[in-house]
Amino acid sequence: MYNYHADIVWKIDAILLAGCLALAALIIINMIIREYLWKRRSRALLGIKENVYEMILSGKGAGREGSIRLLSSSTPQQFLDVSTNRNRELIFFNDSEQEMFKKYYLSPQNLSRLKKIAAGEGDKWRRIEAIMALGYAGAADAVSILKKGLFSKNEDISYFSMISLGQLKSIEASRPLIEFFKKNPLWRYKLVAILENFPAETIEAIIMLTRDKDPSVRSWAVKLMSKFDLTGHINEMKAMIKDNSPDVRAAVCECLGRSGLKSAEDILIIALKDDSWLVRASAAKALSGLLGKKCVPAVAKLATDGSLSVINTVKDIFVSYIDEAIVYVQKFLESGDGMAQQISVEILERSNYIKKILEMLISPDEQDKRRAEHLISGMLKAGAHTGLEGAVELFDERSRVAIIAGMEKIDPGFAEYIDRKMKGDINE
Amino acid sequence: MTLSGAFSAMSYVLFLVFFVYFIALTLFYILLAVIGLVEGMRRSRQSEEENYPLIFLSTVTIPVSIVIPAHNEEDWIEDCLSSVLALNYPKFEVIIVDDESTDKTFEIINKLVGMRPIDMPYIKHYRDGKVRSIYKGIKHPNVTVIRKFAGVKKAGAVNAGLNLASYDYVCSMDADTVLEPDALIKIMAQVEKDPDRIIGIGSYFSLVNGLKVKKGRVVEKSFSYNPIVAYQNMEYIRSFIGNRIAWSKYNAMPIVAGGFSIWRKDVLYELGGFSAEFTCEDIEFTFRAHDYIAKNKEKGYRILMLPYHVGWTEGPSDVVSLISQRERWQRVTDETIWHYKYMFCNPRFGGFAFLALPYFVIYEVLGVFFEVTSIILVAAGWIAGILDVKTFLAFVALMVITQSFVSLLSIFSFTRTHRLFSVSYTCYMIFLSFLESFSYRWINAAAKILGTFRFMKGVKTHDKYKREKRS
Repeated sequence: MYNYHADIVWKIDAILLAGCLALAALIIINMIIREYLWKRRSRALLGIKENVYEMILSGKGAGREGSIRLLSSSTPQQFLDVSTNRNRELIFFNDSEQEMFKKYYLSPQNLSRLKKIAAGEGDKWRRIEAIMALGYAGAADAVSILKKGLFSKNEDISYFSMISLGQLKSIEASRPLIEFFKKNPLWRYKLVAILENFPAETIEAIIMLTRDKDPSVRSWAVKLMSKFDLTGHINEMKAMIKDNSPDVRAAVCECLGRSGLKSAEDILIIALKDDSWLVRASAAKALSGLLGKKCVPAVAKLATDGSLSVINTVKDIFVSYIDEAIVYVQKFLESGDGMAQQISVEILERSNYIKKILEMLISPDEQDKRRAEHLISGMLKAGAHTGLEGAVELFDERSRVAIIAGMEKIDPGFAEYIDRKMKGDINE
Repeated sequence: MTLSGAFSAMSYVLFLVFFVYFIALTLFYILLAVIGLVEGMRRSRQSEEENYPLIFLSTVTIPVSIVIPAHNEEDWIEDCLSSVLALNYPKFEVIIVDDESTDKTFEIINKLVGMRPIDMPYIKHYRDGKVRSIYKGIKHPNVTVIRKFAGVKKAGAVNAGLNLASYDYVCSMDADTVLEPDALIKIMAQVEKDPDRIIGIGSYFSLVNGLKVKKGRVVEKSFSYNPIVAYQNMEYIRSFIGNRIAWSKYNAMPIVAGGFSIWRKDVLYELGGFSAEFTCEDIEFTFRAHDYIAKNKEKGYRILMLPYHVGWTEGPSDVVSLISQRERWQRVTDETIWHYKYMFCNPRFGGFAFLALPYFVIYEVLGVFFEVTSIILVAAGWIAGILDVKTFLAFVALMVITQSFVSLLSIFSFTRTHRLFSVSYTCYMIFLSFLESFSYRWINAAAKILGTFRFMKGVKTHDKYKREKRS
């Protein structure tokens, strides 16, 4: 008989078993401690809430001093719990409770303690908590500390310093963020989300970024500019519409569309003929934002564009301004181009115009009736089926009979099908 | 050399192979668990400190298309859809694909969202099967329902949804999954940090079996003490928290589970959507995405796995259903690894080829044969009088304790970052971990062997297993 080093295997077994038992004990102890800490955290927050209420209700009563002491001795974690309601399933603080708490927590001593932790080199997450607390506290004089954090090599410290600076929403806070915008390609998306809430004057600093060598910086900078008032900056935009990068040109269109500046119309009309589909689509969308229903004749020319994205943009515009676009939709329905016909049906569908067409079909006005017949005939040729059927269901019994009678002239087979369906003879 | 000498030399070699296998596996798991623990704790803290209102109120927040394929899901679709409609996320659309349900799935959806039939161009970018009709929600205009004929598996149903998806990120989920209200915002907060590079994301979800769910919300966390369910809960922890978080750190995620996965739409488009050529679609697509990552190395694409608990899904609650589900999983694993064998230890695929794939081959594909053969040989050796009882017991103990150790490591990582299970339920899982090698592991082994056998026979059906109705 062989024992194949059974002793060694037993020893390994013993080590692993000891490890298992230690782990099992560790799991249970860890869970118990975590539960205890969670309950303590919850109790502490409840205590804060009670103290806040005492402050509100007691006026200058006897318990006031004690309550102030308790509130001001809260931890940065508790400050964040109260200010952000991040554990709302535990406890929720309304705006006035938050304000009252902040008033007593944000003493000069506490702020200086937060700054010291935020600037220190200690535990990373404790530092991040302090960094975030400075932002929620609106500590305007903490910009230099947060800037240092923003440019830290540690990704988490850098990220949360960025978020915290975003909470400050001041020109001073915008400067390091814009500097960071230039240097860090990763978080530009987030930076736009942050900086779009900053004061109007921030645009002066953002404009500098539009002259950067990197096209990605330029395009993001223009996207960011669209969140601000562009009055007085139209010339910069005019210059940028000739940028080499289609991303930048598209961003300029997007920006002009949101600007509300009538002087941007000419720039966008030219951009509709750009070589890049991205720019054409952006220009069409921007024109709709700028001119509203008046943009329809200009963008209609793009309805047969080679790019699906451009066509989709035109489609969305037509849906929004169907009364102006119906002439073009009718033309496309009769064009014989399968894709254009299908898109026209979708436009009629999404704009709820089908119901209107059916109303026209049973209207006493002969001209309306003929127009409806044309449109329905075009729709049926384009393969419309369920939408028409669904729209008929929206009418009362008498109108349905009239609609079906009207449809008989266009497509007797379809009319009979709908009639049978309405009577329940067909079940799908 | 005599015959008995040759036999004993061979059995000694086999003993060494199995011994090294178990020790290497344990060490590998310890390494993964430690990396997973550190990374999981970091991600959890990131989530705790994140400024979610900023994402909610921003005009540039990335919208998401949620695709839910459904085939005879009358018992689950209401909770699933209610949970999706209640998501705390500023902009999303829901596309439900009714894959020829013969039960009341469609009626339930209609009751919930109020549908009207519409005509709209349906451009086929992906292989999806024939579409019958399309509906829009009246009460919820962000809901679209596609009714299609079945026959192109779940992949075809998801692909149909992709054809109508309008947003840049697509979340594909199962119709028996219930999402947590913050699921999407937590995940997208991470995506928004680097949308240029993150192309796929998965996150942790657990089993809903036993829990009380009302209108898409878990109202009572009464976790099932059915050992089959509890073992699966443990297995999900082991897989999601113990393994995948670590894989993700090295961009070597082998699978983004179909129960809840988010992919960037341009990548789905480039890769032609999900494939119906395989038994399931999730693992194969993840492998294909790795191929795409390797082909576009300069872009630095990433697939992320996050430890956030995003929701709950229905799991099998009896042995037969469990075998049916795991057999299918094994089959698709075998199919995918066989199809993408060129990636194995191929430097072009980086960490994925040298870490995740060898692990998958050694543990997920061959592991069951190692385990079963080693048990049989040791038992045979003992019965034949070649091995003494001490060796036999030592070896069996090694297998049992190794398994427990690995499970406990994952549970430890999990309890450091999650407060999901109660202390008593965790104690129950700890207790079960010591019995796993005598019970659950054999069920899994049987399923894996059956799956491998059916893979070799070329079976590619997506058999549904029996699921318990929710209370």
